[in-house]
Amino acid sequence: MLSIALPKGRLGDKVYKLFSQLGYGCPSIEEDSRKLVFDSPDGKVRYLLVKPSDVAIYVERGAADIGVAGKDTLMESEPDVYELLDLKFGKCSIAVAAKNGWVDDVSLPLRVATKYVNVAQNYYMSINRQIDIIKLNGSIELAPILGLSDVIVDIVETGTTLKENDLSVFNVIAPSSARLIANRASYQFQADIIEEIRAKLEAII
Amino acid sequence: MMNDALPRDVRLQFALRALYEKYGYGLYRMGKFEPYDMYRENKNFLRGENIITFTNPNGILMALKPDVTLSIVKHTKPETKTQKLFYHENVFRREKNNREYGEIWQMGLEFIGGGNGYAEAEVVYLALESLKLIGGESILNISHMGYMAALLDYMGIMQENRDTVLNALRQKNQSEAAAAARNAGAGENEIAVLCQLANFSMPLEKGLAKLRELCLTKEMEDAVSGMEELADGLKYLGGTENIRVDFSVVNDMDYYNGLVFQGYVNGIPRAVMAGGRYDNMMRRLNKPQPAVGFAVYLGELERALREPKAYDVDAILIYGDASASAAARAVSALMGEGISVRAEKEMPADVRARRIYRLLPDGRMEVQLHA
Repeated sequence: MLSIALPKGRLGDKVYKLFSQLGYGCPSIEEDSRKLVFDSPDGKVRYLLVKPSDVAIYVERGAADIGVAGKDTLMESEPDVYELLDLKFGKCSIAVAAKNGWVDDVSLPLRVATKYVNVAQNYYMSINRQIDIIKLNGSIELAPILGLSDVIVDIVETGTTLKENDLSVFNVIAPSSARLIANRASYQFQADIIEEIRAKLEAII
Repeated sequence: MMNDALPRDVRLQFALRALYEKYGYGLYRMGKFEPYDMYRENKNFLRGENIITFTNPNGILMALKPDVTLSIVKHTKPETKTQKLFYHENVFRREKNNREYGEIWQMGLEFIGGGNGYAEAEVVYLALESLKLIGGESILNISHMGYMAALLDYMGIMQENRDTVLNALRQKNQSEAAAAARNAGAGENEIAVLCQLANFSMPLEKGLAKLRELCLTKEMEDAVSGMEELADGLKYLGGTENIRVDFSVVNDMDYYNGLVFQGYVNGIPRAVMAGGRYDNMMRRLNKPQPAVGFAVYLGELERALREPKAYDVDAILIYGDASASAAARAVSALMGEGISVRAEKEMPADVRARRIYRLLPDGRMEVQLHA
């Protein structure tokens, strides 16, 4: 049985619909329940619903054979997994945003509020800018408004949240979208079904 | 004779050792500490610089061994024609995403002085046999750094872009490999070849035919010829059925220059073995010999090979206030049945036993539990 880690929430719902269209349906997942593990009636696949940022860990450590995760979370955790396909939805970008009219004072370390600590560090290291990382877990937009940080590094979809908080994108670090990932060892022993899923997904996106 | 009472991971270590000795490999023992400079100069080989260091009484910065191959290479004399060694050592490293250093057991072998042809076939055969000894279904993925380097040279993909492309290959990420190659100005025909390599996973014979088809340069042709020779040798050693050609096996080109491989065992989420030809590393340490070898990561196997035990001990004897002689007689009597006995004054917590005896004041034993 192939186990598939899906991110809880909108992205996961969309991915499940796609998988079910391709013939990997599992009616029990559509019922409203608090269960987190769902086996398909034909015994072919098992779905696991996990926190989006944990999908990569489940797959890297083999608790799930494959999964769908946002590129943003993959860039942050840098898991040792196969990244088999860009699903081209769930599109957003990881960007640096600041208050409108903000000007960078390069004589001081830049204070960066983010939950993408690794991405932010890698990015600023690549441009040789010294930073002071402030790790937050939510409401990142609040940080520059309150003067907690100079900028934020976060995902931006439509930019509405930024606009409503008088912030704007300063520059884009990388685009992100949903990716099909696979455990390296699982791929060796279940290559047929994993490649079948990959090919079917590639055909419809 | 192998003792079945030993845990599976220990039995595996004996079996691997016997296998390597059968092919004439001698045991290499390394010191616990080595000068840090050697590791610092070759930190890319170790993929990260998380090494435990300390200063010895002479003021020299020392490192707790993070790796064995480097040490073997360093101790190889340039004039030595050939050396066949195996090792069973603990190394100290800090793994990614881990805040603590870990002690990891590794077993491996090195064939120093062996050229392409037979030496490679023998090492790959021993790698396959090692996987078999671990047990279960196994796969050995092989690829060729020379083939990859030749393709990237031909495409004009250099340093930074090269790392991005290799990383994309490691992840079977076709779109990223193509994007990085395009970024470096490569032509679309070559990018198509690169994309095929990014999703390459085929049985040996079929894979080699396909690699031959994709060749763009003489160096790539030579690499395929080398792999064909390997395949021919393996046919006489033990077959090639568990081998797949897979270009997601990528090692650092500064150290590895030819065949590279990785072994997987069904049910274990990470590679349990890695190896390859590392002539480039020999050159870096001023050694003229070619060399090929591999390591088995026993740490990855420890958990997987652990057999669940229903009982910790066959019998517990609770002797309470009985005299030493009465307790000793009871222990001897139970031992006489050929079982393991844990004698305790009181019933211990968290110990599972098949049977529990209580020693009565008159010297008789009362059975309290019989599974």
